[in-house]
Amino acid sequence: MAIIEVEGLRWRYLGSDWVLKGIDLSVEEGEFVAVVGPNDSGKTTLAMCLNGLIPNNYPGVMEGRVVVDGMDTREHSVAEIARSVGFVFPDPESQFLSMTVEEEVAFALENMGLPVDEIEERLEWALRLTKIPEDYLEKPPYELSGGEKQRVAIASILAMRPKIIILDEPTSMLDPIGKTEVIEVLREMKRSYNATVIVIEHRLEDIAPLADRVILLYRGEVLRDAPPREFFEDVDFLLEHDVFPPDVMVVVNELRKRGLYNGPIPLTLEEAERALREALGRR
Amino acid sequence: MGEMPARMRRSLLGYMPVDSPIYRLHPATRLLFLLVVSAYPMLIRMPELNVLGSIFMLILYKVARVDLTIIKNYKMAFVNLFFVIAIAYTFFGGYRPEYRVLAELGPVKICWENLRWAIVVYIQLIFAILIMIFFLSTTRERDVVVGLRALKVPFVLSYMAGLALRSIGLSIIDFNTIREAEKARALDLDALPFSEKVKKFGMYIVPLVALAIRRSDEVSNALDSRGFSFSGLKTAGRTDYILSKYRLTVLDYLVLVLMALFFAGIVASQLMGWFRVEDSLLYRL
Repeated sequence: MAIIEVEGLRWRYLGSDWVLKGIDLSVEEGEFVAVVGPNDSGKTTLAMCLNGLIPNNYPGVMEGRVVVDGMDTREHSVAEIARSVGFVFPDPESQFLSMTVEEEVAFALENMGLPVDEIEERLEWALRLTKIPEDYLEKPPYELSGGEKQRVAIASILAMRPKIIILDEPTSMLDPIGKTEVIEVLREMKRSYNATVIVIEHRLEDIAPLADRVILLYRGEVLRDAPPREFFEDVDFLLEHDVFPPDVMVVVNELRKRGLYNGPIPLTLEEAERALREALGRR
Repeated sequence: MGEMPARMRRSLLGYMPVDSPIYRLHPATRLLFLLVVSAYPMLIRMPELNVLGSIFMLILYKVARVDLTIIKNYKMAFVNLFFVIAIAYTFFGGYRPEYRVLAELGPVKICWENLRWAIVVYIQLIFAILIMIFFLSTTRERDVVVGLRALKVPFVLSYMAGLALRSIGLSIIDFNTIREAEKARALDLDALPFSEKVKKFGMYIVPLVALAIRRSDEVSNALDSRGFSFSGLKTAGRTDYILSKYRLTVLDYLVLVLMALFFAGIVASQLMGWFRVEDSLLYRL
């Protein structure tokens, strides 16, 4: 059953050209979808359309229809949609609303009017899932490391237990350790929390094995929408559209072109190892 | 550099040990303390009593384990404040024939009565500043918010107060970032004459305002995305989880009673005409 339905979505900010040029998209409940594409391809705009920030908070022209969890984003406020759609912004600091981790994670739950016991239970659960130690509760989120900050941001969204979680480049402003920490949280989310997840991410090597589908957005249009193995099958096509697949995929693609390997494009390091062994065995 | 104790808690003005006795008090008690004690220097003008109040505050600093070096950071502010007040009162304090003239600078008469007022006001302000530094040193943004909510201030107003406090800190960080960026481009503000400094400060305004607007936009999006919708001062159906973590203790009630008595004393002194500035030693000089 589709939990997100996007039909003929076109959007332009006031004074700009069309950023989204007719997007049709349907996401099933529980799917893990990765959205990739070069800068200025409309990824963040699409994400904001899915949680209602567009058209509710931004002036512009919208055509088409976006329905999330049965709510048309034109007819519901962002706050109403937020009960079903959690949104993690790229910059963790820009989304902090409180001065301690505890307040930050509890903030949305307080808005939902949940009883104190349930808030406590959800808070503990979200912190456990994102591996945030309990002694961080009293700390200001601003004083944590980049990865910890983003994990707190994810925890505060997870605690709402939304049906859909959208993460807009959650690792783009983090150092390598922070990126790894966040990817680990995404892996844990996929394993133990069965929400619909949409991730806009550049770290394809980490996202590809997690995703059920990968969508290539290019200049406001969906150019490719396929399961990861199929998506990465045509590496040259991706490179032509400024998407840089993981190095192992590029290497294996070269081996295929030279007739040294004829299997599928590997998605994980283990698969890449097998492909390389096979190619080396042929020499 | 001295070693920082293992467990510190960030306050609005620095760091405080987690085991400071001040944390045994409910945030609402601390907030009321600020309001009640601040009434003292505002209503009582007698300098001797304000000096006593300042000494009392310094004792509280020690009891609460506030690092007294924090006051040193404000020593230039204290000096500047004195000059501003002294100039304002002596040059613009007016003249009456019964005033004692200490000196004459052209048309301006420097009178003892005006200077005396400057001293009275200065001592009042020093006490008020010490109270404020104490409060900011021992209080976190969270405490202010909890204190206000415990006093039944609507969530929207308490949250706005918290945001305002935080935005001061963030603006200072932005200001320092801009300064560092300018230093990196070889602009040494410290080396410039005062008039040039004033001109250059104008340059900070544009990026600071732009950053503040961007921040408010981000906060607004984040608030919406966490299910908060503004519906006036009454936020029906919102749970106050953070407030539920705090309880008033016997110590709080004791402090509240003492503060009530103290406040009643201040009000009574005003009604009865006790502790008038005219009773001060300064007026016998």
